[in-house]
Amino acid sequence: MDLIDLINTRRFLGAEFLMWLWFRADCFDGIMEVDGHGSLEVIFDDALTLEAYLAETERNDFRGGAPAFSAEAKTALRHGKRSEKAKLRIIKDAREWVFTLKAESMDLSGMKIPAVLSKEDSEVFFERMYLLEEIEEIIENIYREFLGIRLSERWIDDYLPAMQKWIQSDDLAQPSDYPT
Amino acid sequence: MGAFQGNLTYKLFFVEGDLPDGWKDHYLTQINHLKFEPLTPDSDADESMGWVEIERPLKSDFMLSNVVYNDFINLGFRRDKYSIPSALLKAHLSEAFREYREQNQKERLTKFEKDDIKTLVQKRLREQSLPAMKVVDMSWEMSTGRVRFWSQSNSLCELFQEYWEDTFDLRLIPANPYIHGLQFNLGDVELERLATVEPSNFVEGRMAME
Repeated sequence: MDLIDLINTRRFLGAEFLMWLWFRADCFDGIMEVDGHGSLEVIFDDALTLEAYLAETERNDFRGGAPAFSAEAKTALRHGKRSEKAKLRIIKDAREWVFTLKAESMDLSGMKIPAVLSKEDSEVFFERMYLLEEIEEIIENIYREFLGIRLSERWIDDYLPAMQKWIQSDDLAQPSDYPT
Repeated sequence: MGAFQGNLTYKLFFVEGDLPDGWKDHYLTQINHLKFEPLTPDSDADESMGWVEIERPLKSDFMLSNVVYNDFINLGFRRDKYSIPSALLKAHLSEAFREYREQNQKERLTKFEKDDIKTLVQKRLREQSLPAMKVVDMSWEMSTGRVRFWSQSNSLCELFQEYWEDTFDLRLIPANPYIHGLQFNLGDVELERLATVEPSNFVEGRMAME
């Protein structure tokens, strides 16, 4: 396969990453240790899009409230839909980033970054870039952890069964539901 | 816009390849060579694209001081386009064909006559209108080989990617789940699995492709 084929046929990993992140955030109330960044909070915010795999027209767009905790979203998951886009809120050291992550491209949009303190134009630019680099690194380190799991035998043996059970359950997820 | 102010919606690209020796002067020459040239009503082209100074879309007097910001190369990618509404063009063409036929006492016009009249009509309409302008910021972080382009429009991103590669003679690869995976220095086994792993079925009893 050439690079273009690999890029196009591996896009599903983005949706699986968001599914795993959702499951993990659910189990630990959003608290997670991220390599190089310590403990931070990952919250699925008020917008979530679920789509059937390879059938983009079968889509559920949830807006407002906390759709990741809604019965409707769980029902959609039970019908085989998976998360294609989610608005996420990441809190680190009382600083907050809010953005939408599109799974198939890993694009970030509508990013709100922590308040920029600089006044000069060039300083504002460097501060904005620093804050973007920081959130990109956080997301990539979480994605790196996911890939480590996803590309190991433990995905099939432990993680996938646990996520299948989570999807079927109406109960709130517990830390003990997450494979150790 | 986006690098200095405004909405933070962007497309991330990774740069592949090595910087040439003396890259600052070399790239300044390249950027000047491919700077934005304004459209004129007389030009044949309907659109023009090229580099402008960041935050100053009407300026393209490039110097190192307005291109290189410490570890970043910052530019604006400007694209201007005449877009005459098709119904308006059609109405003016129809009228111009009619006048030409009457003046020259002809029942039918040749293809060449029609093309000439169309060029004149388009020019006349362009003189009465201004092209639509779109400017998008681009920041290239040299140390990490990351380029951020403040748009997620697929068509604009493709134009930008091609223009950027022509300017800097390096390859630009858009971020996505596979390319992100390649950034992690995975081992051989993980790389093989990354290339071959199949989608998971999250719902027992249902087909993954369903």
